[in-house]
Amino acid sequence: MAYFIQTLIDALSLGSLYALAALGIGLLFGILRLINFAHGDYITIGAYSLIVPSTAATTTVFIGGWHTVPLILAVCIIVVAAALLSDRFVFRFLRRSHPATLMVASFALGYVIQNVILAIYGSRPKSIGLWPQLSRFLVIGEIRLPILQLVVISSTIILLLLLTLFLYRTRFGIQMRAASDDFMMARYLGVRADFVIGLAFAISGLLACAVSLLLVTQTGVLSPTMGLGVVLYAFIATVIGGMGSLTGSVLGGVAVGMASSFLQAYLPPDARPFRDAFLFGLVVLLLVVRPSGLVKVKGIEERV
Amino acid sequence: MIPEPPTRLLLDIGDISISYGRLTAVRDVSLSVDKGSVTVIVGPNGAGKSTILQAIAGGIRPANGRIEFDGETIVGRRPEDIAASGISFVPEGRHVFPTLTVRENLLLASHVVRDKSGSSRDMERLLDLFPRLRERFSQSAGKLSGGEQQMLVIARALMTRPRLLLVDEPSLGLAPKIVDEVYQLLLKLRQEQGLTLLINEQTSKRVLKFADTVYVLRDGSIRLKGPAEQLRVGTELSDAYFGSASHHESGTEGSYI
Repeated sequence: MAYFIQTLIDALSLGSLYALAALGIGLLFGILRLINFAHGDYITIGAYSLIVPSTAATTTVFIGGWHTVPLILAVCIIVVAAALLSDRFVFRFLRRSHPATLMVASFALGYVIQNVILAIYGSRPKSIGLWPQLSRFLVIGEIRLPILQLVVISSTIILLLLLTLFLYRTRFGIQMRAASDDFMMARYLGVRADFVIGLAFAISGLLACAVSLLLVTQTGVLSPTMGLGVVLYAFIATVIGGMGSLTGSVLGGVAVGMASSFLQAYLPPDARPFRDAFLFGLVVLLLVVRPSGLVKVKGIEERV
Repeated sequence: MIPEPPTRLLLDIGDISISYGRLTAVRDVSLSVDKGSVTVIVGPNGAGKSTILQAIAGGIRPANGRIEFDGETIVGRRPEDIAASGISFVPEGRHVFPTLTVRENLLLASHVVRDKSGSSRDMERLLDLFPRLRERFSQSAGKLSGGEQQMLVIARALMTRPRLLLVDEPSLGLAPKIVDEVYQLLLKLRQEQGLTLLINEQTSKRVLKFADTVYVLRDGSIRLKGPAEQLRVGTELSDAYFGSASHHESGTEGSYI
């Protein structure tokens, strides 16, 4: 029982990270039909901004040594700026392009970011201990719950609530949802295209920043390709959740995280190295049964 | 600047041509709409009617020609800026935002108007005008019937307080009874608020009843222009519409372009 609860918290925590990353991707897909693989590199940028730029073997803490609030603010500003700049200098020129072109452009952008990081920080993985006070345990009877995972889960819930409030209760939130339903119609009604797209990139950057900080606190390791793994799972999450549905992205993220953790915990030890094969097998199975994902999106189907 | 003489002209289109790739959809079309009038473009499917309205609304950029709204040129402006300047476009096919509620659909359109209390008064008035929308106020727009969706897109367009309303084929895919309702509403709006209307239709019978000016568009060119009352009689209109050879004889009603 204790093992199950610990695995469950583990699963929810991993699922939360995937859900946040999937939301960042889903939000842009809804509005721009862009599957932004560079999203993972926003996460990497956030992580590297914590340390002093140098190729030296030893890591020197920079923003990572600041107090909590200025630290979070600074990393968020940097990641949001990266997201906005990638729109301004890459995606803005491709507004009328096919979604496939946009996706390839995002791959290219991702490689550029990875190589810039490689050039500035070197290829050696760096280690950093962010917020060590979170790596304690909450002990209830025989159950030991890592505080950090509880923090990950609760910050995800708070972010989801804030995003929901924004999307449903504010003027710009309604504009974003309208643009996601029918972008051109929204423009015909006066919704400013570049503003709404910029807003989507900014929120996507905020979500990447959150993932970045939570991930670094959890793993303590930085590498130029650290965002790739997360974004791959997040992409799968948006697909099984139903492309274009934000609820779907969240559900998909939680589902992928849960499946991954539970497979890791309950597969026979000999099969564990093949966990991802089982995971992707499940994904394929799900897509065979429900090709449009968990949440069907009405707006994307053509209405007669 | 030289002061211009007072004019009743609200929209003035001169010789626009619009192409999709190598296909020319609209060729040298000139068209004008007077303030407070109802102008209808009739023409068969594929004549280029929708393309003209999209060009006015900023969705497509004409290859050449001019479009002036209230004396200002609007070619090359972004759709959102054209909407802000007072043109509201209702494209064909009832483009409601399906995941937004009826209320949110209307609210969104009011954002262009920077007058919050005025906008909520607008919404009340529109809901009086469209009582069915009040019944469905908190439902997602995707769940409405076709007729209700058509009401919603027109009401939504009015929330932007347009000076010119462009409506693309309001009767497409609707039952005749609903179409009558839609047109009665449009007429009422024109009478009560002095709204200027430019409407596309495939069939001319209904629109001739209340249009002031009718343009017949076929194969991307204007074939006939005239006051609706004159076109109601005679075969001139159907000749222009179908491209029959039996014209040019009288030439007294309407003017050929």
